[in-house]
Amino acid sequence: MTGIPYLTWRYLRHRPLKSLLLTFAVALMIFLPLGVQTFVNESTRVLQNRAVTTPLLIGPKGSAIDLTLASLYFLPQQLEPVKYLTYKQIRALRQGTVIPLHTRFTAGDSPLVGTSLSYFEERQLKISDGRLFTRLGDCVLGADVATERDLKVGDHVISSPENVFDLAGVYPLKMRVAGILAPAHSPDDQAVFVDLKTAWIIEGIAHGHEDLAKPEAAEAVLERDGKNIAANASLREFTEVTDDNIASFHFHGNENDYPITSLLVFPTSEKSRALLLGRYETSTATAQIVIPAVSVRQLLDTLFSTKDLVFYGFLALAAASGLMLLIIFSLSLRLRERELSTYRKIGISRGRLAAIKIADLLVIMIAGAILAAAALAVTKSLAETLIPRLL
Amino acid sequence: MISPMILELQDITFAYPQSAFTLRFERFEAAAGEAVAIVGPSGCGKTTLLQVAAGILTPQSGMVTIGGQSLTEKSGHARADFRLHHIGLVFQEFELVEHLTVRDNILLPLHLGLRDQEIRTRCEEMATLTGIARHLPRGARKLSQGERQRVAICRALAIAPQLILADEPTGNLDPANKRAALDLLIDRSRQNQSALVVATHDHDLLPAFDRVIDFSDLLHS
Repeated sequence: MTGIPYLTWRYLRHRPLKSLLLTFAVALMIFLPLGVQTFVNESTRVLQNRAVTTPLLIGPKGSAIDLTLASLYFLPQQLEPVKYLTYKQIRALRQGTVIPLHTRFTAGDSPLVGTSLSYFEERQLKISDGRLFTRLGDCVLGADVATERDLKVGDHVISSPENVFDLAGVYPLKMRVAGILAPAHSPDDQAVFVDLKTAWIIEGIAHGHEDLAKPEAAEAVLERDGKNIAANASLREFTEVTDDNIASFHFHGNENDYPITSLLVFPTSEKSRALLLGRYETSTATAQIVIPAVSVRQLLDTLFSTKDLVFYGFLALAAASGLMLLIIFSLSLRLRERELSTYRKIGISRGRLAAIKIADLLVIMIAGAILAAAALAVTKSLAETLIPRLL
Repeated sequence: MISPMILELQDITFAYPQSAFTLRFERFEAAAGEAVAIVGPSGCGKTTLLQVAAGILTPQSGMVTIGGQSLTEKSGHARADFRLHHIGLVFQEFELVEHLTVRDNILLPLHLGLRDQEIRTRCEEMATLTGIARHLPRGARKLSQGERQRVAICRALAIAPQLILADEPTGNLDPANKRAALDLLIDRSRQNQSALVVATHDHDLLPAFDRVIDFSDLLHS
């Protein structure tokens, strides 16, 4: 290397700390406003992608945003449950695929999602290991859950009580991992999926216990009245569904009244969509129908109402930093005056002298821009994976 | 045989802005292969004369000709390019670039646009002749004053110039190195048939020159 590039390289190397600091300053100057913009755009894209692939959502009346957050992103929300009857009624209309969701519980930090097998088909989720749940008490793990907890097919996951002092609540259910999903880069990666009926076991609607008719359960019998046997508190309830005890699991109450959180509806046509929307227009409807894309747009408008302010703030900061850099460079030129004077005396042309003066600025700007571009690429890629987690 | 004239300065007037000092003389010349010494008290204008001759300073009147080309009629850009290619300068303050290595300082004309790749060979040769070859990869700021002066001489000679202008080129050298440096300057100028003009205070060295000009006589001429 000779000439101006070489002289510039030697000068930058001569003051490595200054060169590095200036490069980082330039990178920050470019990155801050663009990074905010990228993060916001990426958040919007990720949130909207999920919303637009879910045409309609039916759930309890109240906040449409809360319903959307609970059903699409599995965020814990205080929602009144809707009855399973609603699911039956909507399905009976035959206007599209209807998928029930039960998102009240968690398994550790992961949302526990009770649903049907159609969910995986509609969300185009693929199994990377094992199979989908086929038996009561089975669960399917999102890719991140399996990775983070180092779980494999055949391992077990335990549902969490709603709170530590939930003494009257149900026992945690130990669930067998039947399969693991391939990464989908969506909230599904962080969820544990079970059959709706398994969710109801956790809810306490269904349970399995020792057969009171058998002699070994005699101690648990409180009272016998013909065919009816009442048990005392010593009756051992099963906390895991196994091949041996699955037959003992049974449901109490009317199935129509069983709780679900919401219904995802994928109408077969525009007409079906219009019919379903019309059905919930009336004020007497006990549930509401929501277009998730609209709810998410409202949510984003609220979340990013200050986005422009932040963007312009960073832009002003970048402009101020740019001015600072110009001052630093002009001071640096004064410090180089002796060196530049030598070049002039030896016989450098005016053009080359100007090139030497701006070359280090140019190199630092380019290096800063490359650094900023790399940081933006990382932000974009991190946003893709982080935003579903942050939700 | 009469050697061709390399440097000719005719009817020169030069004054620094806002200064009472004015350099004014009728004629100064140096022929090919000739070594000319200029002596005179400090502040009499020896350095100014060398800078006018090099085209670093432009006289208010008069003519500077080098190798038959009028420097005063050239544009600033052309003058700089001519200096880079044809004039070897040894400055009183050495004018080394501190963050460059010794080799880079000698090759500086190349980095500044000199179109002569032979300079690399001559750089090694000059460094060996002046005893600084082992310092070539070192930073210039690590050198002693004497070593810096030798680097400055090497840089001036490495371009094989038509004209060598040296301002106190031996001021910081010990007697042995002083003699060696001057001999090198004179030998090279004779070998290349270039003109050598040296401003010096050192009267011990004057016998080595072909011609010695007392600056006071020049100004009064």
